[in-house]
Amino acid sequence: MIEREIERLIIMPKRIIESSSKEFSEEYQHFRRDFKLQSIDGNYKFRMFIRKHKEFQENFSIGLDLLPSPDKGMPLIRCNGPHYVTEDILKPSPHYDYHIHMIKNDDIEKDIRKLSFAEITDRYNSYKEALDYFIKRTNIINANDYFDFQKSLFGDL
Amino acid sequence: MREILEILQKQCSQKIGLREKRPNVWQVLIPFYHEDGDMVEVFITPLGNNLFRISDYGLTLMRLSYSYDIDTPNKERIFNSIISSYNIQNERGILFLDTELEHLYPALMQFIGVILKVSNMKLYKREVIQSLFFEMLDDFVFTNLAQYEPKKNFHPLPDMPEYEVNYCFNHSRVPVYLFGVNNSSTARLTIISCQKFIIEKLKFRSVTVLESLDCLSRNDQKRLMTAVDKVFPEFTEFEKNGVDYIKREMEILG
Repeated sequence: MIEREIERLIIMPKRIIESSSKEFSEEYQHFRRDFKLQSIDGNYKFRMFIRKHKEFQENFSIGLDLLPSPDKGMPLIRCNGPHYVTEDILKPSPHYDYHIHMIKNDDIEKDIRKLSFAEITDRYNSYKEALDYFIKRTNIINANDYFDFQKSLFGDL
Repeated sequence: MREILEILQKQCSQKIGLREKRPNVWQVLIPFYHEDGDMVEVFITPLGNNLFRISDYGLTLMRLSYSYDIDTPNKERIFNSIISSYNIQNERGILFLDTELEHLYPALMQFIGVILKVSNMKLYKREVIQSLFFEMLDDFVFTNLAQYEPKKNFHPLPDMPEYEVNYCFNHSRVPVYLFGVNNSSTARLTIISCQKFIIEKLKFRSVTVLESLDCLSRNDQKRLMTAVDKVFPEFTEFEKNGVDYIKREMEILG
């Protein structure tokens, strides 16, 4: 039941209604963009964020949070690049490759803000592909107004 | 006990690894994980002369920014106090610690501890904000409302100091009493004080700024809204509209 509801929230058509800036802004050692989104039916608000490390360009994160209220976001999905150069020698972990984090029932029941489910994905192999996948997966209908998909990986900075 | 120690020593040596992330930048694989299962990202760079730099390459603040921004002086102060307590340096968001080879292991453990502490700033967001609520209110009042000459810890009934107002504006004419509320105790004290002032036939207007609406039970919210003239349900709301509101009140009250 909860999984279905989470999936419904992720895939419901939504549009960007506010962008932090036209381009990426530089902060500390990463680039960032933040967006506010609204479902087409007007009933739900969301927050989307993109972070890309300046030096380790494979290290990025694109996430979607549900916003029940302005200060209480519930993370729904996060598309990440690999954190390590090889497989984690310590335990089975998807974090050495491109991977997707999702929220689990348990996270909601315990009222904790984490996305404890993670799995390797073959849906993307770069930041650009990840952004494309994320936009399709989360059904953002006006993404073309905010992203230039013709530019290269960091060409839109 | 010796057996346990031997097992721990054996496991420690097995459960640590190094991988070259970039030339001369070694990522440490060690079983310390964030809440979502991501491993804490730590790197070691040899600097020469027996010195090594343990660094996060800015990834801690990048990860933190997914859901929490260090965007106020108070948050910055807390962040700086966490890292400086453990002698961690911060250079444009890169946290690092330089150490000699002999102290590499304890320095690495210390560094990871700080990374986790900073990463968890978002988890104790509520506590941080709560503990800073009155400080933030104070900053705001004396920065943005200074022109109205606020008096802090004002006692409208001089013989009864137990009835205190956090800030009083327009104290020589019809005053505006401002109360900060961040829990049921401060809410009830505000309600009792306002009722006492009414009983004593004082002329005043009362404004309450809540740390957030959900810091109070529904019943306390109702009681407070009945007792005071104006409630700002969130501190951020007061930040946005408080100056205009106080300005209008001053114009009306003369």
